[in-house]
Amino acid sequence: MHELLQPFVRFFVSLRLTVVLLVFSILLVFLATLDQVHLGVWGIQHKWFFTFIVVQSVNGFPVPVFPGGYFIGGMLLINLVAAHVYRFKLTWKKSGIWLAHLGVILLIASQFLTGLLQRESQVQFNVGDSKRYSEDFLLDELAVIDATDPKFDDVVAIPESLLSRDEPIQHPKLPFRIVTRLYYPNSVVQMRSQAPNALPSPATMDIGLQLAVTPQPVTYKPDEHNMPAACVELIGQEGSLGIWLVSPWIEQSQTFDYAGRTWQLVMRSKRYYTPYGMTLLQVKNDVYPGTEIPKNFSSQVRIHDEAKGDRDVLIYMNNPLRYGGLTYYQYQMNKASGLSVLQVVRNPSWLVPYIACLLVAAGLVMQFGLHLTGFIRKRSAAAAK
Amino acid sequence: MRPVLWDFRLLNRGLRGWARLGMTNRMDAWPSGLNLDTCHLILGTSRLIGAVRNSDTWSVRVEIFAPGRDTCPLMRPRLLLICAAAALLASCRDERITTYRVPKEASSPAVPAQATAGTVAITWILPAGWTTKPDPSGMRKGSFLVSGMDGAKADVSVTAFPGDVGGDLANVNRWRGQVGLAPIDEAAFAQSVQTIDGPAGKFSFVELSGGTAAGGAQKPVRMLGAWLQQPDQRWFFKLMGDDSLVTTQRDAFLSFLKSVSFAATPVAPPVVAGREKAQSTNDLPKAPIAPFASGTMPDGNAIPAPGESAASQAALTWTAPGDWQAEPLSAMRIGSFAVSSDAGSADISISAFPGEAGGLLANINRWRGQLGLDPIAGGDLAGATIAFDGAGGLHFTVVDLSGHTGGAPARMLGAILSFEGQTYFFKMTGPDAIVAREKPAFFDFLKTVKAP
Repeated sequence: MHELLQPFVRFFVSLRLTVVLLVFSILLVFLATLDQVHLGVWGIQHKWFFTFIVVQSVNGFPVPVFPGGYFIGGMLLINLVAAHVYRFKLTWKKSGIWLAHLGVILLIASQFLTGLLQRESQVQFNVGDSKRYSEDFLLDELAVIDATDPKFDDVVAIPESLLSRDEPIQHPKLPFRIVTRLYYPNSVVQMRSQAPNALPSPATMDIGLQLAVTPQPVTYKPDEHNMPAACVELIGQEGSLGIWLVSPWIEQSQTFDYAGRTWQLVMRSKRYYTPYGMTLLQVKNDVYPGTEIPKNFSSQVRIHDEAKGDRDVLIYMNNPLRYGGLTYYQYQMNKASGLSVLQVVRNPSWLVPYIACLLVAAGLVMQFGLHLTGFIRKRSAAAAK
Repeated sequence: MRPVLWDFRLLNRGLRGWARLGMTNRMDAWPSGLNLDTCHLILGTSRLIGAVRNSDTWSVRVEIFAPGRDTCPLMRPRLLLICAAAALLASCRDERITTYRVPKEASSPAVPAQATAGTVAITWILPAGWTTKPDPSGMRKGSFLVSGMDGAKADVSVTAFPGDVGGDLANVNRWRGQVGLAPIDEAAFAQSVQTIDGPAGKFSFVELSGGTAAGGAQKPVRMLGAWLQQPDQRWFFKLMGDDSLVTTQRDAFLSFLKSVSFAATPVAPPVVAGREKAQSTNDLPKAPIAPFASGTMPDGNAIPAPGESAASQAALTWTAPGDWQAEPLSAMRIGSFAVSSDAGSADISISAFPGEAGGLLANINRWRGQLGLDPIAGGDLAGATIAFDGAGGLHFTVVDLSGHTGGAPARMLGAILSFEGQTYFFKMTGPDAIVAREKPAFFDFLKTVKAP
């Protein structure tokens, strides 16, 4: 049995494998960078890095073309751990190398965790605005809101990806099911009077009757945003309630009454609510004197936290706010209109890379120190003779 | 042949982002110009599966590959086996329906006719020539555009904030900064403020001029600003734009202030939000959200201001001939003119859409359809269009079409320009006599179109 395993062990502990994997990771970064032209910076992350195998569509068929980021990273991790188990002895002399390699293992693991757990969104507000949520950069959702309660909204948020499937959507909180009749991942919505030759749309309710939807090619450019559009039919117990057109182009929610309750439909950027609120008090854009070159952008915000009380903070470049497990970075600003955009990053494993780097540094210092003391001891012993 | 009618219907959408479309094309015969390329232009990568003729209808089944952002590599069946464990954790986490209860948000409709804010409803009468415009920030209670001759523009905004918003002096100094003026002290402030009586109360009013807009073109700007304290909120009214235009609009602005009135109404229940609000907002669909270039910030060099990118739709400038009358802009028109003579009047419109807006062929065929002309095939495009070089290396594709609209003979001059990721459409339509007369002027006009 042991002999059968030998080739595997030799393969996984070999330094040759390490070199090959490192070459593959360089190639991976290079090829993914080239592919950005087609998919944009968001698309390639999922296609090349957050995957085990990179799959390319050739004539409509998915063909695996390259090992993905998870695969290469995972193999490197196995290689490193296996080499330690089989090759290195845990001795005091080698402890520095052990510590440094532990740091590298931690670094790879943290990147894996980041890929799984990190979420980026934004808070966009004007001076005086208060927000209790951040909005996703890319994803949209259909919010079905029970607005009957005068104080609260009960929201059922349906991801856009579910609308794109041909399956009726049912939810215990909704007295009707939702069936997608039309879905475009990217679109332009115009007043019908402005687009006399537009396709007839299936919408039968509310503003949808006056609007024309034109599909657009899906965009991957980093400076463009897909604007989806969907026609959804709501079907209650007595039959169809009608077909509504929903799209982020239509900012206002569309209201109707059903089953004795008031409902609102709106398609908007996916929202992530926080248990605290935030008010933008002031925005500042300093420039270097006598020039238009920006020196600093800062936003003064007030956090309203029922549990911890109110607190004023200043967020500026390279000085993000860390609060409630989220990190708020100053992202964009329009001082003239008093608008500030904060990037919100949730990354529970954000500390791990710092710890990993400290471990690597400590390991190297330790290894060097051990060699140095050994060398000095040898030399002084030689001098004593 | 009758014009092409398209009817797309989504039938299915699979795991890999495939969608099958059923398309009916009411044509007497399968048109030579309608092929997969046409679908390609409109829908992205597509594949023809089959076509069936039922009496006078063609049913075409097309598979489109729309690699949407919902594409989730880990959901591919073959990969599921390899990475089932990771798939549980990984990117599919956003697929779930979530529910939550949140406090109601204060509604701030972009529509001025009756803006509700807490318990107060504000109403006003719009002066002639002011058009409602979209509000990218979403914070305005009213947002209007005033257009003058030679592309002069001014912006009207109505906002409301609780409290005194940092004090009147600080606020006026903020405004002064926006028109490129230095801050003033309390004494100078007291002198500069006038009072205007209106039915709504006493407005404080300032007029600021002499500077140039911060960071903008070196055109002189002028601002008229007014504010009014209400029990729960302070309301701000602002007209800002090109110096000459704002000067001529001063009386209109003052009469606008005097038309403002507040009426106490019960808190608007969400039910009334529905139709009217939605309708009026949709006159002006929201501009695509500002670019999200990740990594812009760490450089610290350039932080795109969302407001600016929204305005980039009107990045081109142009100068209309003297006898063209400027018309009010509307939802999709970024330029609008009319020219008339004894023979009738022609309408000139300028619009812009992101990306290819369907492509050259589809748009030219759309225009042909408007004049009751048959569509042309992609191969005939070169023969049917004129390439026209404008100023600064801008290339227009121009068509000159004669046909009928509503039974009357009509002619159309259309020019399509692709510029910085936008497609611009310049179009003149009207009776043949006047369009023929204005044709040289139209080409001269195209020559005045310039990149900033």
